[in-house]
Amino acid sequence: MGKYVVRRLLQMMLVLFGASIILFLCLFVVPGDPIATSQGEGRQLDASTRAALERRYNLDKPLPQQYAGYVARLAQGDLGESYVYRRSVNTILKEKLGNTAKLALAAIVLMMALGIVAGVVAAVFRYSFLDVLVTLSTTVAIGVPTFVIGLALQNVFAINLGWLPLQGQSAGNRSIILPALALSAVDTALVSRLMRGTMSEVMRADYIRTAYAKGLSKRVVIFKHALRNSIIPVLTYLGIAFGGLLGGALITETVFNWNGIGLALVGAIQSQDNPIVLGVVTYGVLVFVLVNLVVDVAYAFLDPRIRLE
Amino acid sequence: MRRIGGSTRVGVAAICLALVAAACGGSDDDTGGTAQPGGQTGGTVTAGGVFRVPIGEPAAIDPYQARESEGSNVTVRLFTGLVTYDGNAELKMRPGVAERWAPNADCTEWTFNLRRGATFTNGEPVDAAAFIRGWTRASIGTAASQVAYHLQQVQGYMPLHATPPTATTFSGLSSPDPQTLVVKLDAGDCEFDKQLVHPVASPVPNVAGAANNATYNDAPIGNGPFMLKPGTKWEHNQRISLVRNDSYFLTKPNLDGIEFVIFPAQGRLEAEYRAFTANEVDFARIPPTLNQQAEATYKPQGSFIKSEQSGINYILVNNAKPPFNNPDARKAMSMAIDRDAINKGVYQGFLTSATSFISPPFGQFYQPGVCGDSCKFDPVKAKDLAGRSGLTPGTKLKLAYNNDGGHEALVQAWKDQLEKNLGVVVELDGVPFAEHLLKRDRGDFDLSRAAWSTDYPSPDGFVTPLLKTGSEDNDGKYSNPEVDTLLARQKTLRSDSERKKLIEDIEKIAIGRDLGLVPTYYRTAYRVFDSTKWKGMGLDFFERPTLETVSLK
Repeated sequence: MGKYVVRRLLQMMLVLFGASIILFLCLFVVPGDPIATSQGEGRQLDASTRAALERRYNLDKPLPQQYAGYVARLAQGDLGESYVYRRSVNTILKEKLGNTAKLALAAIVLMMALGIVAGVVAAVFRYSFLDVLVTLSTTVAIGVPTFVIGLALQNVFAINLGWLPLQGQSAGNRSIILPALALSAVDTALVSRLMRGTMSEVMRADYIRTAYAKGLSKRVVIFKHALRNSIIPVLTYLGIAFGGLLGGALITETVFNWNGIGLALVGAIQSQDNPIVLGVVTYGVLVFVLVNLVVDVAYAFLDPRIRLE
Repeated sequence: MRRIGGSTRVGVAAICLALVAAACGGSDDDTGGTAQPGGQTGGTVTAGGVFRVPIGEPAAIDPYQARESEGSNVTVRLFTGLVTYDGNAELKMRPGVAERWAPNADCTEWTFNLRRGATFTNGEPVDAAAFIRGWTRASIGTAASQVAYHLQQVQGYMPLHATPPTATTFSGLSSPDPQTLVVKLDAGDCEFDKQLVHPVASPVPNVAGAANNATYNDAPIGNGPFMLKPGTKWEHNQRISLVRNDSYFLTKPNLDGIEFVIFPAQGRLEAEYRAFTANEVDFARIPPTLNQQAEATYKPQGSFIKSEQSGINYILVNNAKPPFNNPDARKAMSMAIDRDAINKGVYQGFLTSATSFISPPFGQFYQPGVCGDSCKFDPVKAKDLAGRSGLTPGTKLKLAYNNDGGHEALVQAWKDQLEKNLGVVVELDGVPFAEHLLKRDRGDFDLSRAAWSTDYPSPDGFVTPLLKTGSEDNDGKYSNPEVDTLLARQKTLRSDSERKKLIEDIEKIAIGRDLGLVPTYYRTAYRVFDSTKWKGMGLDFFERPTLETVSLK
């Protein structure tokens, strides 16, 4: 096991290295003039200011040297400075990571609470009214784009009813409810479908019939035997989803003005603020690879048939 | 001065200019912080309240780099420079930190006499040294300021601003005593004082340090009507909280504070308007598609603001190559475009067709109708002129625009009308703004969508950059020695009333006769604000909300 983890971590370094090259090529080699773009509207830069900025951001050196400088700084955990805001990208990301994590956590809790319950109910009462209701509502949740769900939630709960804040984070815990609902909608639906599928299968298994035959109550059978065995793929799914969410929720964060990683990325791409784009995406790759590793390891714990070598 | 890539919506009218006057004019008898909150608007004014204003995340609020509307909207609340201005029809300059100021005979040397006793909110004195400090800090090459060029005519700017700098002090600035600032210019400019309304000309205290002082960047200490709420700093991407500066040396604002609520750039217009409808901000811009709806909802309750702004939308014409090196071809093109129909079709009638280049907020300098028949839709005459000036059917024209500003419908309408009325073939060339500017510089266009606004309240900010031979912003390469002579002369005049005549002549020649560039629309801005709670709201000359006059109802 230890060996496996070490090997995976080494592989991760390789993935990160590859990603850094691809990213760098995408951002710095393609035509375009980030210094001019970061200027925004207005007059063009004078030669001296441009020279000062190119020097400051290492853009006056040949590309291989720029890349070497970037990797050297990255190795020390330094993501550079934003072209537009002239602030350290580390500082900018630090302000946002906590917010993204908070939103991701809230969304995961909702997925577990709503998704698992709905899936279990649908599986236990197959083809009942409740089952049909779950199927219908999950279809809607999967089919409607996240930003539409977000805007609809805003219209109902913020603008019409006035119960919850429309945007921002100034209202404490009340601020997180709508964005978490919007963000988790699709995954909640998928979780409940996954739950329903595996649970239905387990309910038909021989050992469940045996359990009933032994005279165990329905509740014990469902919660102790069926749920436990059918929840493994759901947990795997949730783990991977959590990893994805930690990388930032571009659409939800934009709709709800939630100051997270996703919002930073959207703005940075628009203004060609390459250091921020590089920082966010590098961080995203790192989280994704790490979460995958954790999920693989967790899988081995949950299912004794799997061995990691 | 700036070229604008954003869409054709902007800023409030005569009514607002009156408000602006109250907002920004420090009247001469305000001395030594004796003024009380709300002392200027007349009638009963309730002091208090925190007004919530939506903005985008600024690039900077530190004056050295307050370079866009977002940042300067905050910076101007935190700092007051040497002079302020009065947004009335004469665009008069008013005292700021300077009580009196005057240029020498040829306007190459300016002497500012500063008031005594003015301080920053940390108690440091606002003296001549504070201005020299601020201007030097912003102009030095290592600061890489993108707005320092506003000070470029001050002697010693070039060596200081070079990369790497070859000087560390601003040789054109001196202070014979703490209350006197002497500014030497490279060349005479009798309107230099007007350019000092830009935030980059603010004074800074000693604690500001160098431009890259992150602590000061996030919590600038100034001498303006407001200051950062004690104990807070700029909460990036969330909010900037200001409170009234009770030791302010000019008329104090009525508000207890301002809360700038920061919105993401993506979908910002829609988001801030929605936030207004949910009562999370007290003021908002309006998405152009919702102008009609907003007017219907908010105008009856007095919450709808319409403001003519100083900027101009125009068609940049390449005067340097055929067919548009011929004035008649330019006129034909202009007359083939139905401004009013496009306004109705594309902008629901929310713009105002331009009949001059200098726009209404310039007051006495505004000459409605100076463009004459050239700015009127007349397809028959257009066709006739076109035939006689080489703009023959089948002529290929390249119409450039920036494709990141929502101009597609506008340029498509121009294309359709030119093709229909003149039989020419128009090729649309849309690229992002930065690239678009490069193309304009290279002269890689026949026609281009363009907009312009100025950073200081003088028509000179329009005519010199856009009409002077060889000016770097004169992308259309318009050149007329007669205009150049007038442009040079108006710079040497010390009074606006004399200047008025020359500006009028310049516009008569360059627009009325030559049509060197083609005005299309004035920039009209629309806003909503919560009139159930507030009064005294308008937009100033720079399209900023007049937060110094707003008060509780």
